[in-house]
Amino acid sequence: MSIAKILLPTAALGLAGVLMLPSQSDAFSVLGTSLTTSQRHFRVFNNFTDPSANDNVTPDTNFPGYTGATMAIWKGAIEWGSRLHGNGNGDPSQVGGLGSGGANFDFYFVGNATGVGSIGDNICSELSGSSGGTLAFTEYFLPPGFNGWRMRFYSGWTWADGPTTGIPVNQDDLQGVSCHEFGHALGLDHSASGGATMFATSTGTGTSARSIEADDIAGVQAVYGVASAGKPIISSIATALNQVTITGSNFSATNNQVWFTQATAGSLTSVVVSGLSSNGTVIVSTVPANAGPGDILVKTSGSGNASLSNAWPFIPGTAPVCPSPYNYCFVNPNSADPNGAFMGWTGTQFISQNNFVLFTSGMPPGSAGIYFFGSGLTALPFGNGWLCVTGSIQRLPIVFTTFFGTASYNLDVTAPPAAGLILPGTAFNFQFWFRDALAGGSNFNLSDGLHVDFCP
Amino acid sequence: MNFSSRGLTAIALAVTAAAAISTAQILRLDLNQMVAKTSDTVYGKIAQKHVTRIDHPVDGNELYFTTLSIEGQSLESGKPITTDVVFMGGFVDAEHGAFNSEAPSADDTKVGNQVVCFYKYTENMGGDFAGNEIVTWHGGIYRTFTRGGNVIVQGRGEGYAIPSNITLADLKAQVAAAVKVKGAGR
Repeated sequence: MSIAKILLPTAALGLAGVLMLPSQSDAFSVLGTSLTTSQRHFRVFNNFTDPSANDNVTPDTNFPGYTGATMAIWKGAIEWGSRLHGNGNGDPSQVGGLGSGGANFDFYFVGNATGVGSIGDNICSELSGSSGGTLAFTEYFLPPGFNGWRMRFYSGWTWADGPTTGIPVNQDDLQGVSCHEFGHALGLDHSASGGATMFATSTGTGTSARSIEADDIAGVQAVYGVASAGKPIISSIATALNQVTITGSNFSATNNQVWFTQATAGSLTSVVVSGLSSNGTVIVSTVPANAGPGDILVKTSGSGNASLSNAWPFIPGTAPVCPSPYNYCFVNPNSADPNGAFMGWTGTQFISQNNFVLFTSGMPPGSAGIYFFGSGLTALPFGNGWLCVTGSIQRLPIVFTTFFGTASYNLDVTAPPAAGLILPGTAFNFQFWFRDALAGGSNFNLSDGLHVDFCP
Repeated sequence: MNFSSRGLTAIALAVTAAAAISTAQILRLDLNQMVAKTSDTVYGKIAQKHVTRIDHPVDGNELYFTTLSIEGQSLESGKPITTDVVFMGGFVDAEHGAFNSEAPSADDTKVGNQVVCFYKYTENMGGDFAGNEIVTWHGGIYRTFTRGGNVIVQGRGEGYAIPSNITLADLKAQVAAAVKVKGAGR
């Protein structure tokens, strides 16, 4: 064997070995600028024309309210976040791993836009036309005029919204390509590290750029600093109607802000609730009417990169479903009405509103009677009518029927006997007992029953 | 285990190729693939440079296009040519313009630079702007310098059509060979 026959493969293996080594840690380069905390939002103008750019219609709880191109681009941005976005899921290629930046930096989604916007509006959209080799680009200014960016994806390519990585070879991955472009938006230039998301050139569909690598992480941390120990952190949220309870750490005692995504496409950078207090770990905020599904963040009273929390997926609480009351059981004729007496109601069954009013009609005028309620339903002959309520029966004060043969009672859930019994989530059955001497027999009769579910 | 030298070489090359695969936002094109995409390739001097702003009703405001006038010769035909080539980004004046993440640098596009440029006529680069687009923008223009009487084309590194320095004479030969197999590539 000649020397050359030994040296050639040896040298080739050596070269391969060098290329397989971990990329150098400082291959990233920076643009020399950064985004302030009020410039880290982004919107999507979903004008993507390829069917494959919007054929993912499966909702994802980590990216609520949006699918298709918007969701794919949202994922590309979130990968640069300081911590996992929700539980970090949403990308099959990095399960539980979306949110890898570890810096004092988080992009946050503020909803769809209604147009492509200007440079500085932080909007992602498709651009008409084509390019021989450029897939997408980010436009921006540099200091002193640097105040945002605009991201464009050439319509000449065929864009795919994933979410799987198995997209056809003639398509390009919106999530991966946007992840690269968001690196430019935050202040990174191209990297010399071959495996980095910020490496300049692309082969294949681009899905491998979805996950930022060590060199990219070093880059974002160089621009914004490693996530500080004092940076506010959202670790969970709980929503109720018009309210959100945010749990985490490092919240200010006073003057926190909560930032929401706008509910409908528009120009808002975020919907803000200000002046919120906290014990350091919990913030309770109202949810403005114009806030919608998207991201939620906490901005503490401080300033600088470490004053803005991670972005957390948020879905506004919905009004609890409260079934309408319904009538049941039987009635018999009474001296005033051959059809018998029937229950009704006005107001609502929401305990917080305390405005439920019992109402009965079809009775003799000027008769004494009482409303009563219990948890059980029954239908037993009783007096001249039917008993429709059972269980531990509670009686309300005596009322007299009107000249028109009606009766009503304002049910005060804060006063006995209702207080402590009628609570959110409970259900009771109501009935009216009334004297009816003219009818003879037992000299009393009853209305039908009314079943009521009570809500918060 | 017993490997032949040819087997070892094949394994090494396969591993090397796998290691070199990477991703991002301009296409990774080798020289053959680049030439396959071009209308022509020019070597010459940047004689003029100007920036056009387009405000388009659909594609948006402030679309900036930088046009370079290059005087030199075609590397594909060998004939003298003067051509205008275009990429997105640039500044009309000190206050009006935009940087573009995939554009070549200001240093690469200074008037007076001797460059090699791969370009392709494109009907619409956005905003209905037509022109000879520099293919892959920053990946399609290469500076040159002279050393020992030879013109050297400066390579851009891994992933680019000209990854390492090469003499203009060698590049001409490679482009000529690539022209013969045009049609390959994405």
